Amino acid sequence: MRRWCIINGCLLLGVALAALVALNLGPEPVTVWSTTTTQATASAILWSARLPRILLALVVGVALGSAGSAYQALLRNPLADPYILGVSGGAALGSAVVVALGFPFIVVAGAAFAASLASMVSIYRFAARPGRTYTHALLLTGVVFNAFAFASIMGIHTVVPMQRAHEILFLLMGNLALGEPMTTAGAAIAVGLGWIVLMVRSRAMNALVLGEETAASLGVNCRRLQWEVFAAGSLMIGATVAVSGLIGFVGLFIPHATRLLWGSDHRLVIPAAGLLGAMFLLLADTLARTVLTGATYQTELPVGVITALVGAPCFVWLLRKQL
Amino acid sequence: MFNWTILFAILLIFSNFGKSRLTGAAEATTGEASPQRIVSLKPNITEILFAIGAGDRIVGVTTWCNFPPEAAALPKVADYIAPNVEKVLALQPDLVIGAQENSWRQSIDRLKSAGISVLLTSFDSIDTSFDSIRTIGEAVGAPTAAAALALRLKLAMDALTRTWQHAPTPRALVVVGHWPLVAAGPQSFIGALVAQAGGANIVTTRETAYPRPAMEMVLAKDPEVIIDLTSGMGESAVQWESTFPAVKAVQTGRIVTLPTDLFRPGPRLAHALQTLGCALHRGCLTP
Repeated sequence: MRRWCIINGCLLLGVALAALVALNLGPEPVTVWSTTTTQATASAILWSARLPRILLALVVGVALGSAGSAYQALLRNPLADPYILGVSGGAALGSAVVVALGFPFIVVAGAAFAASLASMVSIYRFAARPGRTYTHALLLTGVVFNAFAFASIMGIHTVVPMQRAHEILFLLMGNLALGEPMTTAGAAIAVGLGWIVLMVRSRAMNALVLGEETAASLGVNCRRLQWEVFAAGSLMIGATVAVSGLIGFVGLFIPHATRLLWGSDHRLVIPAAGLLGAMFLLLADTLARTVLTGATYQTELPVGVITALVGAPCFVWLLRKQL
Repeated sequence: MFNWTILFAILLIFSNFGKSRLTGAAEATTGEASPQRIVSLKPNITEILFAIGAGDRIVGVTTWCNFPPEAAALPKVADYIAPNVEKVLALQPDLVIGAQENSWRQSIDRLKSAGISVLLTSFDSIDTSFDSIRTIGEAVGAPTAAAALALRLKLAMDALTRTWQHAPTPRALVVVGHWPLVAAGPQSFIGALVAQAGGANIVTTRETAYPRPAMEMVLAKDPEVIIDLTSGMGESAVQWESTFPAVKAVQTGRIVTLPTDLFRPGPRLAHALQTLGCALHRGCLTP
C-alpha cells in the first residue's frame, strides 16, 4: 500500500509538472508569468486555448493507458491494444455512421461506445478459446477488423457532403484540437466511470492472469469479470474516440512500460498506466501543437502522427520478444 | 473613405456578367470545327462555358455543377476529383475539359487513350484563371466572348481593388474547415482574393495553402473579421462564441458566413471579390 501511494503520488506529481510545462509552451510566447502580450489575450491563450486541450489530453491518456492494461490482462496478451485490436476502429466506424447522419455529439459518443463494445466482443469470440488466446489469431482478427472498419468509413466518407467528410477524416487522424469544455467534461465522466470499474476489479484481474481455472478456484466469476471489464474498457475507448479520433499505440506500450517498471500487480498497473499514459499523451500533444506552428508552417500536426512514430517501433519490438 | 462613386459605377457597368450568351452563341455556330458535345469536369469550367455562350453544347457535368441553374439539370458524369470514364465515353463527347490541379490523372489518360480530346486547364491563381478562360474559349470556338469575359473580369477586379486600396486593412481569418480548424493561407485561391480585397490574412505561411492554425495563434493575432466558409450555405459550423469568445471579430459580431460555391475561378469571380471585400470592409454596398 505504501509503495502504491509512492508510485502513484510520484506519477501524479509528474502529470502536474507536465501540465505546467505544457501550459507554458506554445507557438505564442505566453507563459503564466509573462507580461509580453496584453492581459486579455494572454489569459485567453492560457485558459481557453491551452488548458482545455491539456485536460482533454489527460482524460484521453488515462483512458488509453488504463483500458489498454485491462485489455492486456483480460486477453493475457501484451499486444492487446485497443487500436491494434480494432476496438478503436470499430468505435470510429460507429461514430462515422452517426456523424454522417448528422446527429449531435451525445449520440456520436453513444454510438462509439456501442460499436467499440460490439467489436471487442466479436474480436474476443473469434480469437480467444477457453483457456488461452492466440496471438496470431488476435492480431490478424484486429488487422482484418481495422481494414473492414476503415474501408467502411472511407465508403461513408465518399457519399456524405464535404463538411461531414471533413469531420469523418478527423476521426481517423487522431487529434486533440478544439476540445469544447462540455465534450471534455462528458468524456471525463465516461472515462471516470469506466476507470472506477477497472479499479474495483483489478484484484480479480490479477487472478485471471494466472488462468481461468485458477481464477475460478479463487472465487472469481470469469464470465462476469470479462463482461464488466469489456464494458468499462469500451466505455472509455468509445468516449475517447468520439472526442479525439483514433490515437494509436498509447494503449500498447504504456501498460507494457508500466509493468516493466513496477511489476504486474493490476491494482498498481491500472492507475499507474493511466497516469503514465496521461503524461505521455500530454507531452506528445504539446509536441504536436508546437513543432510546426512556427512562422514557416503555421500548422498543427495530428497527435496520432507522433504517437504512431513512437508506438510502431515499440510494437515491433514487443512482437519480436513474443514470437 | 471609399470612393463610392467609382464602386457604384463599376457595379452598374459590370452587373451583367455572364449575360453575353448571344454574342458567344453567334460566334460558335460560325466556327467550322468547334466541338459540339462538351463535357466539363469542374464546376467553374461549366460556369465559364455557360458565360461564353457554349452552355447549350455541354452534354455532361459534375455532381457539384449547380450554377447557372440549367447546369444542374445536365447529366452528371464526374464528382469533384474523378470522371466516370464509362459515362463520359457513353456521351460520345468531342471535347472534355478538366483542371490540371485536381483531375484524376488515370481517368484522364483512359479518356485520352479512347481517342477523346481532353483539354486540361489550370486555375491555381487569379491570373492563370484568366488565361484558362481564354484557352477554353479558343478550344470551343468562342475566343472573342472568352477574351471579353476575361478582360471584363480583370478590369472589374482591378477596379474593386483600387476602391479598397486606401481603406484600412482589417486582420482577417478565412476558415474553410472546422474540428480541427482549417484556414485558407495566402497560397490558396481564396487567400489570393483576400489579399486583392484588401484584407490582412492572419495566416502568412507560404509552405501550405490550407494550414491548421493553432488556437492560440488565432487568439494572439486577434482577427477583426472572420470569413467562415465551413458551410456551403447558411449557418456556420463553428461555434465561435463558445470557442473564441476573446477574439475581436467574435466580440464585434463580424463573422461573415459566405457560400463556398461563389469562390470558383469563373465568371462570378468579380462578384466573389466584391462580396469578400464587402465582408472585410464594414458598411459596403450590398449587391
